[in-house]
Amino acid sequence: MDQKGIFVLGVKLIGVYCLALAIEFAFHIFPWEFIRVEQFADLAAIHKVSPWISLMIPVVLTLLGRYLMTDGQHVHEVVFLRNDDIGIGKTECLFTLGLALYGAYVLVGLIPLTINIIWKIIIVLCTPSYIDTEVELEGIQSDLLPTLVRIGVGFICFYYGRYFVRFAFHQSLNKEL
Amino acid sequence: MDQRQLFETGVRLVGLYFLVRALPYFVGTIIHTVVLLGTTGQVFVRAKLYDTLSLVSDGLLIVIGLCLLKGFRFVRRIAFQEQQNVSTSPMKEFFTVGVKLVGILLAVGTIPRLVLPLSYFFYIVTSDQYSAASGEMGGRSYFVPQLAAILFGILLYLRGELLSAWAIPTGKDMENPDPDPTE
Repeated sequence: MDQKGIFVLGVKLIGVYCLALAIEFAFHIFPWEFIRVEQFADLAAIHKVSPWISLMIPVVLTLLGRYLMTDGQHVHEVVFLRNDDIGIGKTECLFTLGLALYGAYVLVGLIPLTINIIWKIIIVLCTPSYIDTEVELEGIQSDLLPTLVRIGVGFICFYYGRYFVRFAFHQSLNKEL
Repeated sequence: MDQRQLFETGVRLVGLYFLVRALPYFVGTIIHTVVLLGTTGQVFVRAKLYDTLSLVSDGLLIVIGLCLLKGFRFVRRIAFQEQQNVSTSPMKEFFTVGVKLVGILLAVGTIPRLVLPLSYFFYIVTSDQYSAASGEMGGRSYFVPQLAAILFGILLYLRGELLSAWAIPTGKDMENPDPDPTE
């Protein structure tokens, strides 16, 4: 199997990981989130929608997992088009593709947290001022920056892995030149 | 390298991963326990149930890690029990191996995350009266997601071929899955 085949295989396995995440989150949200909301009858309307928004997490993960497992052509194209000029050596190319896979893995794993943060921001912005949103604000404060940094790292690994190659294989590239 | 050899290598690596992951916590807990026993004469002073379950889960992870690292034959036999030497594409074979390894990682790797909700659950079940505090802990004791993840992992390990058949249909040319966009 060539390098491209290995990458395609990796993308499909990330699809399996997506499905596993989706199953765990589906059981986390249904029925527990719905029960929790029903326990607090005096919640604002926006809070009562929360479980339905949370249901987006397993739905998005399932659709993404299915796409990556059965097709994933756009992902392949993006990575191969961006890294068409590597071709210096097999090891370097494999390293770049491995980084792209790691980036995809990181980005996929951050989907639930990202959806949660976006929803918390919407809650804070849309809730009337007399309703306490301290819990949501605390969640945003503690999660926003680490999540943004991790998304950045995942994105860089996925799109710009070749720059890491120049850093990691500096000596071997100099020898070849 | 054929499918089974690849699986065996992968299983050993996964075993090593679990061993490296669990050993520091296990040793740390043992040392902590010995120090506590020496100074206070008691083991697990505060959260007895949680500490005990953590120790058990770390121990379990180490045992499973050792079994996988040792490459016990039954691990391979269970994974490929019904499979005959059917000639399939290399991509499909590798994917099946990958799915089974993801299954092991998922099933065993979720065990430590099961400990906290399970300890809350046992606490509520064994407490005499259903207090307000245990009512608040109802959410924390909800261990179904972790259990579902473990069961899904076991399913992937036992029947990874089902997912392979879905992800890589037999008729598709898997040696060249997509046209090369760079060409």
